[in-house]
Amino acid sequence: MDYAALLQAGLHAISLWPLLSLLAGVSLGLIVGSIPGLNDTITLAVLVPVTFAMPSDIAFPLLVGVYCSACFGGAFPAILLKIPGTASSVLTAIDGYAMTRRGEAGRALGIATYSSTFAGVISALILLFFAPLLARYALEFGPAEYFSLSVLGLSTVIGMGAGNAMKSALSCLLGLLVAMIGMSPESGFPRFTFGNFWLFEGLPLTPILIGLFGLSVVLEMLVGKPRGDTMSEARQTPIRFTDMLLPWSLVRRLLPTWLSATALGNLVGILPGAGMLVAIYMAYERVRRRFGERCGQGLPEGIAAPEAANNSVVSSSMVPLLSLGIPGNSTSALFLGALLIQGLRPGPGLFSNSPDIAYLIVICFVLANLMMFPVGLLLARIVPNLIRAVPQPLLAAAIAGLCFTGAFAIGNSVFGILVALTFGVIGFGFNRMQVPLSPFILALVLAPVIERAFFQSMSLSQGSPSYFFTQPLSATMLLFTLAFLLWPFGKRYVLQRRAARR
Amino acid sequence: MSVFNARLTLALVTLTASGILQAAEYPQKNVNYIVPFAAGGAVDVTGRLIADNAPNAFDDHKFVVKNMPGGGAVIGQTYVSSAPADGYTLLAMTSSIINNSLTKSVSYDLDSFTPLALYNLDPEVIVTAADSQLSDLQHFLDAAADQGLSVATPGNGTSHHIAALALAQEKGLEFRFVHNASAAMQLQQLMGDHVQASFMSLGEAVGPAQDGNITILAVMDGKRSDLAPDVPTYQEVTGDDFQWGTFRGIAAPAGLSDAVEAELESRLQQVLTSSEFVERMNAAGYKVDYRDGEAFSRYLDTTAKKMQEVLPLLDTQS
Repeated sequence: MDYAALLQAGLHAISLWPLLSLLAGVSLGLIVGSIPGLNDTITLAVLVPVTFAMPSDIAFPLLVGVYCSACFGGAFPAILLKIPGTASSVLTAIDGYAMTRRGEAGRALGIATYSSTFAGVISALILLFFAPLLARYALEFGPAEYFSLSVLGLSTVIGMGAGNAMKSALSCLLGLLVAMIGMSPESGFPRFTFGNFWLFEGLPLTPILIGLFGLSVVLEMLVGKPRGDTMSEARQTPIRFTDMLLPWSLVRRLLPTWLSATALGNLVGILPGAGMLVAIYMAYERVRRRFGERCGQGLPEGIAAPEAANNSVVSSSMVPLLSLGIPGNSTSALFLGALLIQGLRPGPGLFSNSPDIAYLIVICFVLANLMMFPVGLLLARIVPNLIRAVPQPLLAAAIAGLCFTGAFAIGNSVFGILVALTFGVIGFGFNRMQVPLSPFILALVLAPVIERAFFQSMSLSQGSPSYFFTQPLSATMLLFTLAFLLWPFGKRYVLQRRAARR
Repeated sequence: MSVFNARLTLALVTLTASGILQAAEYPQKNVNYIVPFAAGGAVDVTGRLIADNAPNAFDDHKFVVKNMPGGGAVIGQTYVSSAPADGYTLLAMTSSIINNSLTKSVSYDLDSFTPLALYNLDPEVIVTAADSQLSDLQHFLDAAADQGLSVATPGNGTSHHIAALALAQEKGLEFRFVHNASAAMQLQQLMGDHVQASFMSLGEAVGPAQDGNITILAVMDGKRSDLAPDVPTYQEVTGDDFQWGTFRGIAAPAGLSDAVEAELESRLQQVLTSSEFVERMNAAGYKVDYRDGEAFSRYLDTTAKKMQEVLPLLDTQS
């Protein structure tokens, strides 16, 4: 590592214009992240062409700032309104909103801020020092490993149903079914499309999320109280600044959760294509197994785990891009475009050929995460009180307006709005019947990965399913899957034995 | 009264005339540039380069790049084929248009589009991992004939898949195909030694090859490429001629008015031959090879004929 170049880039990064540009990026990221339907990918797609004309020490701080803070911004509506602003805060909404209903919104936002900052800074440092090493590990993942990792990820849904495994399984299966809509990745054969062109591509994810989480809440506001769950309770307690600063005892209590979630985020997040959702679900599952029933009732760890995991993934998804030139997700693919246009080609040569900009980018990741802390706390001070000041009918109308705009913006088509409306009704039904939504989302995202990896593995092994067990990494993950699946039964057996003995 | 009528008539005439003028004036708004692949691949990157330079030639109207991936580019191609032929929806047209319309039950064929410009020809290359034992083309051919090889493609029915099928038939080789959704995943599997070889475009292989992560065994072109002058052509090694490649161009839905077609062609030419665009393309590892709409049409027809000869392979071997 070239420490002289690192130091120089560090000093460059804290000079006036790069720092201002980074601040603009972080603020913009927080805002778009907190609006359902807008996210980092859309924002970067709009920004990247604009940055062509900028010098690179202004362009990259801006882009990095947006990328880093968008998924933290998603936590705000998740905690305050039970509407995740981004897909990465789907799980934050569970315990976060439960805390808000107890009048602890300030504490919940504080936990999200601390967790995001902690994990973000650690992961950015890992990106700075260990990127080549991690990239080599990412290459170990072939089709069999992708298949097993996705199956492992899917197995975490078992516990999601607040004690009702049947409802979780139902939600998961419905997600898999919806994921089957569209062309087969292997043969190109259209499934469940009824010759309708719009369905060929499968249903788009973001409008589905907008419907399930955003419009369903609007519907609930229209219809009235669903089993004692209403927004107005959440809006009684004002938020004090002191709530958001966590006491040292809570920080110490959350530290193990932060560390394990950060580790998971870094290991899973670097895999091209698997990324974000698997990491946050696995981190949340760890918390759920440790705390059982208490998880989902407003447990601080239930916010800390997914928020730490998602901010880790943000940095770690840059690992394969910067060290190998392979974009890990659609957002880092946009970064690839930005790099190329500035005359930089990502890959092993990046840090030796243009150390000034390469190190500047990585240092911006560290700084952006640090900057999120004060900006986040400031926002946490303003936004909740703003939401409290708006009358409920106006709030519902505003949310609906944002949802429709977001759903339309995805493909610039009314089709997105139709999808959002449909899934708004479905989400409303799920909530009424107390079927958890999170298994549905995970199944929807993982089904195509699992299917493609399965066919690839079958081709490589010439049709032998034992292939998944002869690869050590893959076999280990499948064993863990089995353990997760049997866990509830094993636990029940042990409890029964214990009761019988008494 | 008559004065009023005259004025009204005059006003109406003016209105109508300006309406006609308006309709004839192109462009009036931003243009949707449909990339039928996921973000990050060669078509996407070059598309964004075009979009960045487009406002200069399109009266400050932007090209809005939209990725519509899936089904081996069928999704985006279908979308454009059924879009209004007003010049505001363009397709990043690649070789997949030919095999898709020939092999899949899609609602379009080559006649559903108006080719406007070709900007890049990219020859096919065979690549292996840098540490692979298959370090040259002869080794590769021998091993494929002997025990068969696993080969990563960016999708079933893509031109890369068909290139491999055609070669396999001609030489009696055996390939086990691993179909992906992007060139990025192809590279990942190759560098991680999960597959033994890969068929891809030269433009996508040059960067990782310079980094020493992959080896380009041969380029399937009539001559060596400036981008990789050390890589032999297929013919140099084997003595047999085997040329294959992908092209990247721009097309609109069929049925453009003549005025709009002429505007589009000349404005696109301006974008694609501008020194700024050519420089950026070279920096990103692509050569610009501009041809106008008519030349592009001829090229499409020849390629389609060639493709038709090898297509029966897809039915028997896939």
